[in-house]
Parts: sequence; C-alpha cells; structure tokens
Amino acid sequence: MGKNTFALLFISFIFQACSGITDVDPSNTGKRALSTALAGTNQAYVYLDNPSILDDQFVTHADFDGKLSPQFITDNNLLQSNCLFKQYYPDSLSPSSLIYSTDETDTSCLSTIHDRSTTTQMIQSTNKSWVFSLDSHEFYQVNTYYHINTMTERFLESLSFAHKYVHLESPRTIPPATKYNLRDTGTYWLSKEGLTQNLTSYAYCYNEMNAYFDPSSDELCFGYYAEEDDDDDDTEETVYFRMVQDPTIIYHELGHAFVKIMMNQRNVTKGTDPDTFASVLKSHDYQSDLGELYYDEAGAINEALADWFSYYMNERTSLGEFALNAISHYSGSAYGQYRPLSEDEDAHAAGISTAEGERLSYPAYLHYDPADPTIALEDIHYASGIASHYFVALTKALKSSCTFSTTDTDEIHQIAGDYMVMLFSETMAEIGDLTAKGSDFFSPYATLNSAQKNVFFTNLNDEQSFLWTQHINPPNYRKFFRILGKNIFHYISSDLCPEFTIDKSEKLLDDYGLLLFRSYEDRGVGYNTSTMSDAIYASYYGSSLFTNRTFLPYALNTVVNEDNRRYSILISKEFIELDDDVIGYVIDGQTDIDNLITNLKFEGKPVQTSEGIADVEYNNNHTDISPGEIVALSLNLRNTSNSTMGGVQFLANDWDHMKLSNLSNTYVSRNVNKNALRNGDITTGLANFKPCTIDGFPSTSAGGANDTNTSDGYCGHTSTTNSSLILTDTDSDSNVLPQYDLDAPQPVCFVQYSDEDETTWVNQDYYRQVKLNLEDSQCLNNPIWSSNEFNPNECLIRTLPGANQAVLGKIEPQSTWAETMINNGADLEFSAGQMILMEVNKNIPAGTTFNCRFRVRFTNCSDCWEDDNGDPYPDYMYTGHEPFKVINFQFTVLE
Amino acid sequence: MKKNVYLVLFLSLVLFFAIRPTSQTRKFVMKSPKKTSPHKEIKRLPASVPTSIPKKENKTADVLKDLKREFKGDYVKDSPLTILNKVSKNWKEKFTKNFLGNLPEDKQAKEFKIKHHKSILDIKKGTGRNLEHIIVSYIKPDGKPFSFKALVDSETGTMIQTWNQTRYEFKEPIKLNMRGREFRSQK
Repeated sequence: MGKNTFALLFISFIFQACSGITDVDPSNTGKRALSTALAGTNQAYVYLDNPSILDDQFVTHADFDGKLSPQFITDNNLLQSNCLFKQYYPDSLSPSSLIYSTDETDTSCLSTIHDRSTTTQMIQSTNKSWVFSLDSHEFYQVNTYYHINTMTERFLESLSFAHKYVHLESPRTIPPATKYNLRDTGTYWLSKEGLTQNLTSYAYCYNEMNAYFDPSSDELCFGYYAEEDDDDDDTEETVYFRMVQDPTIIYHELGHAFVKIMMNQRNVTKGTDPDTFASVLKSHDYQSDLGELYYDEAGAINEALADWFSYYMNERTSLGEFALNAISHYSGSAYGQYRPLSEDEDAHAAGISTAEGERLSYPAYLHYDPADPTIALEDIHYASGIASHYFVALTKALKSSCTFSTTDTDEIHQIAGDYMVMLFSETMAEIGDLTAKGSDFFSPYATLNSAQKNVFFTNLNDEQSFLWTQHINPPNYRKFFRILGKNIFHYISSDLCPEFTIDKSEKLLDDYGLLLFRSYEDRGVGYNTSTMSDAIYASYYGSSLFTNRTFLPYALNTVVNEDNRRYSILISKEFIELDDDVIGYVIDGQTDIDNLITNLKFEGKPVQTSEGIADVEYNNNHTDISPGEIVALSLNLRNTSNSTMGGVQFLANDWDHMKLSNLSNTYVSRNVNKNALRNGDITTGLANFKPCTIDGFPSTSAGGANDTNTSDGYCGHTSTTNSSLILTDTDSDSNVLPQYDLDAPQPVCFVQYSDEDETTWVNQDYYRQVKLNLEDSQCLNNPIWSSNEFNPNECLIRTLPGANQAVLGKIEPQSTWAETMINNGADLEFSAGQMILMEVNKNIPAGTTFNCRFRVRFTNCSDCWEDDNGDPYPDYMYTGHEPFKVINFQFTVLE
Repeated sequence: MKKNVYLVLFLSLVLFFAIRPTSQTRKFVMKSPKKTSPHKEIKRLPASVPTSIPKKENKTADVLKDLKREFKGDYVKDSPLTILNKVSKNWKEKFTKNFLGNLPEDKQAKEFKIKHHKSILDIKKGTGRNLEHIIVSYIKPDGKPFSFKALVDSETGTMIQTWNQTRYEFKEPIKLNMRGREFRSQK
C-alpha cells in the first residue's frame, strides 16, 4: 500500500511537471542538437493540430513556437513500434462470457524516418527524451511518428470492437465479413503471407507539395517545398512548407493505409483443410485496391474514407486548413483553402446546407469543387465530397440518436467512431475479398466443412475475384453504399442503436442521393460451383458452423421502403446510347499514343502491344482507324433521359457473347491444333464462333446465333466461371492443344464478311483465314506473346488489357459526356482513364468493317444490377450482357 | 544368292529408313503450305519473345514441390501436372527490356529496381504456369517515385497482372485535347 502511494505520487509529480510546458528547451539551438528536456519520460514536444487551427486563422507558414505540448512518443530507442491487437473470443469455461488475448506483432508495424535515401538512419532518443529543436528534421519525424502511432492505436481499438461485436455479440442475421481470426492471420495490420509488414513513413520524402501512400511497399511519403539558398557558399536549402506540419494530412494518408488493411483482411487464410486435416496458410497473390489509377468512384470513396479518418481523430468537420491553404498559396492560387466535411462549413457555395434537399447529393455534386464551383473537373477528390459528407453526417446522426452509457461527448465520439469503423470493416472486407467467400462462415478452412470449397458469395470465385473486384463488378457509389446500408440495418438499426431506424438510415442515404438500390441483398447472392446452382445464406444457417455462434440469416431480401426515395434517381439503361452522328472520339497521333502508352506503362498498367503487327509508327493522325495503328477511343454516349447519370463505365474486355457453331468442336483454331487434327491427335474439330443475337443484332440471316437454349455453350446460357481455355490436352509430341471452354468469353469485335451470295458478321479468326490468309504469327497478340493463350478472335482488332475499360464521371440529361463537360466550363480534354486503347492489325485491307460490342452501365441504373423482378444479379451474370447496355460500335478501316 | 539376299536386305533397310516418317519429317509434312503474303514481315521481335511455343511437361506435383516454388491454385497431391512454360534465367532482364523498351533518355525511368518476392507455380485445371511475383519501383521521368506489384511469366518476363500502384494525393493525369477528334458514324 505504501509503495503504491509513493508510485502514484511520483507519477502525479511527473505529470504535473510536464503540464503547461509549451516552449522548447531554450538551450537547444542547434538544428540537430538533442535536448535534455523531458529526459526519462520518452516524451517530446508535439503540435496537436495544424498551424491554421493553432493560430485560429489561415496561415501559410508554420510557427509552432509556444504551441507545443509534451506527449509520450515511444519507449523504444528508435521511432518504431510493434502493434497490439486485442481479440475477443468465448471463454471455453463459460461460453456466454468473453475473454480476450492481446496479440503483439512479431516485428515493428510502424516506423518513421527522414527520407527515402538508403543511407538515412532512424533517429534515436537520448536520455529517454525525444525532444529535438523546433523545426529541425528530427522534430518533424518525431511529430509524424506521434500522430501516426496515436491514430493507429485508436484504429486498432475500433477494429477490435468491430471484431468482437460482429462475431460474438451481434444477432448474426448476416454472416460477418470481418475476418474471424484476425490475430492468427495477422490481417488486423498490413500483412504479407501472414507476416506483419512495417508501415514506413517518410517525413521529408521529396521536394513536391504532395503526399502518397504506396501499397506495394507500405510507405507513406510526405513531401515538402524547399528552395536552395542563393548564397554560393551555402548548400543549405530553405524549407517553406512540409506536409507533415498538418496532422490532418497525416490522418488522411494513414487512412488510405487503413483502407488497404480493411480491404485485404480476408485475403490471408489460416486454418485446417477439412479433407486432409493439414494446416493451411494461404494468401492470395493479388491484393485489393479501392480505386483504380484514374478517375473512378471506388477511388473517390477511398478519398472520402481517408478524409473521414481526420474527423475520427479530431471531430472537426474540415481538414487541410494549413496544408491545402499553403499549397494554394505557394502555387499562386486563392487563399483560405481547406476541405470541408460538412455542408455547414463556410467553404461551401450558397444553397448548400444540412437542410433536407440541400446536401451534396449524387450524382449532381460529382464535379463539385468548393473552391470553384463553376468549373467541372473529374477528380476523385471532388467526387469524394458526397461520400465524405455522408460519413460525417452518419457519425453525427449516430451520436445524436443512439443511447450511450456515458454523457461525455469525447467518449460518445469515440463510441460512434467504433461503430463507423465496424461498418467500414464489414463493408470493405466483403468488397475486397479475393477468396470470394464473403465470410469465414463459408470458408472450409474455418468451418471444416469440405463442401464449402465450392461456395462463393462475392467476386465470382477465387480465380476471377481480382478481375471482378477491380474491373467487372468494382465498388461504385451503388455497391459500396448498398453493402454499407445492409450493415447499418443489421448491426446498427437492428441492434446497437434501434433509435437510428432503417427509415432514418434510408432517408439519410437518400439525402445524399445514395439510396441507389432497391434491395439490401441480405439473404445472400452466391453460387455453388459443385452443384452449379445459386446459393443463399439460409442454406448454411444454424449453430453447426461455429460453436456458440448461431447464424440465423433471412430467407428473403429486405427491400428498401420506396417512400424514402426522394432524391435518389434511378434510370433505365435504355436511356444511354451512342450519339447518332459523332459516335466516338479517336486519337491516333503518333506522339499522343506513344505518350499515352508510356504513361500507362509507368503507372504499372500491362499494355503489351503486338510490336510489328500494330505499332504507333503506323499512326497517321487522321482521326480514322487505319491498318497498323494503335488508337485511343472514347465512346460518345448520350444520356437521353431527363436525369443525370453517374459513374458511366464501358468495358472492352472479353465476355460471353458468342456461340460455338458446333459444341463438339472446341479446339482453338491455330497451327498446333491444325497439325494435331491432321495427325489424328484431335478427333473432333476446330472452334468456330458465331455472334449471339443480342437486342436483335446481328440477325440470323446476318450471321447471328439466335437461340434461347439455357444449356452450357448456348446463347441463352451465361458462363458461370468466366473460364476461357482448357490446356490439358496434348499431342504425341507433348504440344499443348488449347481448347475453349464451352462458354468461353470472347473478344469484343467481330467483322463483316461478304461473298458473292451474302454479307454476314463473322468472327475474326474466320475472316483472317478465309479472306486474308493470315498465319498465326501475323495476328495481334500472336503466340509469340500469348503462347498457349492465343485467341485468333482478336487477330485483327484487339483492345489492350491494361486499357480496356473507361469511366466517365457523369452525363447530364439529354447530353453527351463531352457536352456535359463543355457546358460546365471545361475544355474538351480526355484523360487516360476515359479512353480505351485498341490495336489494328496492319494486314487488314482498307474497307474492312468491324462491329465491337462494348458493354455500358452506370451507377444509378435501375436495371443494370437487378433483373426485372428486382432480384439482384449474381456475380456470374456480369460475364454476359443482361446487366449492361450493349453498344455496337461499327467502323470501317480506312487507309 | 546369299550376296543378293544381303543386298536386297541392305537396300530394303536403306529404303525403309529413307521413307519412314520421323517425327521431324512428319511435322514437315503436316505444316500448312506456305502462303504468299503481300504483307510486311515482322521487323523486330521484343526481347520477351520465347524461341518456341512451350511444350507441355508431364510431372507430378510432388516432384515439382522439390523446386521450392510456391504452389497456388488447385494443387492435388500426387496428381500429374502439366507445365506450360519454362523458367528462364533471364526473365528479369527480359522484363526490364520489355518494360523500359526503346525509350529515349529523357523518357527513361531512373533507379529502376525489381525486388523478387517469390516464385509461384500457378495451377489451374491440371496445368501449371511458372510465375514470378515482383515489386517494381523507379523514379518516373517527372521525378515522382512510383512502384507497383506484378506477376510476370517466368519464361518471357511478360506482365500478367499488376496491382498496388502508388496512390498520389495530387496527380495531374495525362490529358488529350479532343477537339477535331470526332469520329462520325460510317453507317
């Protein structure tokens, strides 16, 4: 007792000694001189907010003198730490009680260092003090580390709550998507094959007013603005501005790292194989990114989430009050810039408020820049405003509606923050799941149920999941908020906070134009590849999956109350079509395309061209499509409805739109198979595809296959696997004899063929053989590049895999995208993400006509995501045409 | 008589070997007749071009396990596996040459690095493909550090898939002016 009293007194003394200290040690004048101040405490002087907030006015220069407070940094000698995660589980002795264990990462999970130079060393504490002189590089490293570590600890607490709640305390009316064994897989943090990855932050990364999160090496880079001093004798530089001087920027960038964690928490599997009882540790090759490189809604949502994390940390409905203002200042732009997170902020244009009907709503505000509302710009930071404002409004609604066990506003903010991270974790775990299960409830390695190896509830299946989550069915404003809405309904409205009813939730979503779905899809929309039948969650109900965790899913989908849909407009896909006159925009200048391909390559896009068969040297800059060219194409799509369309995406990847003329003849028409046919190694025949008749085109007389048979291989059947080739057959010389899957997805373009009798549409392979006599080696993406995966149906026209989809932000009513941009004051400029790249075989004679079937859809589409009965499309339907408007883009190759 | 018999036997043997279709001559016979084409030949081939189409190699998965290549996909113990490609010693060089191409000096990336993460045997439906999982990093011509992850073919160095690209906060996308680029319907 006596010892404890002394200990308390001692601690109290330390705290009293520290409180109120706001000045750096005056003896500490050298830039890198260590101070003896705060020795023995492992503390440093820290700025708790950005200079504009600390000064209570917009400033462009950081002056932290007198505005610092002592804060604990780390017990370690270096600026690094391990992460701790508290995971709850039922007490085996008393199953109704929960106990927890705290997992500590084996290696450090965080570190901060000055710059990216390989020779730079991490700084060390001296005398257990982290005090460095004000404005020194070391001072900023310590501050950067402090903010990152503080937010990480907070996030891991929230994630721990999310795990405990959804798995152990919730009603479990939907399967929890958050990983159950986060601790064993290490996926509560950045993880590679189950091993903790260190998140390295560079406080003085490179000389540019910019910042980035690098998910490939798990790095946070914070730039700066410095100029070399004029004095010839002085090699020093004057630093005007550092991104890390604004903690809200640190929160934002770290938020991107947390998004990566939540998106990938399901992509490491640890458990027991139910067939062999062997231990299993599997990690998916790929990782999910929320957002592509260029403009897309997933990227906008990622930005909104990163912004929300700033509000999570400081409860302020704005960020970047210093950094964005300083960047504007040093770039010569307007003063007083920051990013608002609520309609109440002064930064907003007139007419925007939190009143009903005046919030930032989808899709009207996709281009909205508070700093200049008159300009239309497609940028994820502008498109993110709708989502970031909704996230903050939802948090506020939870704080004001729910019953809490405390009246302390800070604690209430913390609890509401935990609820939000739980919703985000559930939503992103499902969206980013590359195992395609959607929940550990369907993992054979977690449930020891072998039959579940063939059950998939998200992203099609484990082979195609990356393609699905990134391209074919990527998160957009509909998908993300439909899944988030489902989680709000089942976890918040139905349990944690009944006061925030489903009606309130739907109305808030609708205020933001985000009630873009008619059903929560909460009975599950999956597929069983073993029984080849659709699957629902109810097939797996009960308590047999996990001890003491009974799963009681709904048998029917919960539908949205249509009375709550006041501002969310849904439009039929029939209202999007090609303009009658200008059907597209074509760029075929040598320099333009050369720059574009180089740019795509340097952004890590796989854009391997068929050198020698198509090359920019053939590009003639005539705005026609000519032999040998590589052209960039954007469709000129017209919105013929009276409402704005958002998130228009057109896809040019292979899809299931052709039918084998003879289902027995599946061998790819290529030399190796032709030889095998002559040798007798193949006893059937070579494949010949006909285009299926879709929306009446092409008619049977024009070469179309018009059948409604729903068996495998017919036009009425959609591929359930997206499998394209079978490579198991060989000839006597062990050459692989590639075969098509019966419903193999095929390239988008086919060609018009005329002979004396008729004019029909045929596949490219037929045309190259019968009309052009082209060898395999004269084809685009021929076996030189594609090896066994050569598809002669892209011999003549080919879309490049790294550039085969485009996204247009929004199209105003009765307008094209170009008109939308021009009417809003923008130049008629396209960026890389708004075009696809197409190779044209140099051997095509002028006058040859092609038809390319692009698939188009948009986010607020009433019939792109659900069928006529309002039932959501299962994932495999996106291999076919039904969820899309098929756009036939016809062109004739001209010299 | 005996001499004649030997002579006949000898000539028969010569004739037999002369006309017996070896696998090579058989292949020759089976080749499509060479067609005359008015079109230009391929001027050059990229560095990644393999010398031949890879042949199937029948091995069991267990034998391949000894290669210390991580197995991915539908690995079934003891089942025969066919391998679709070989592992080239120069896959890294091929990838680099393919990636950087023949860019002029002012468009070249600086500090180009390939970090090899692991080697994979990707197994699908009884066939395996050798792949390399890498992290590529460099400084772009505009001075920005950039990096991404990629799976590349172990024989050709061709990029199969990429992900985890660096996410810059402020980014100026490449823009193309579309005035005068209208493509009109040719129907």
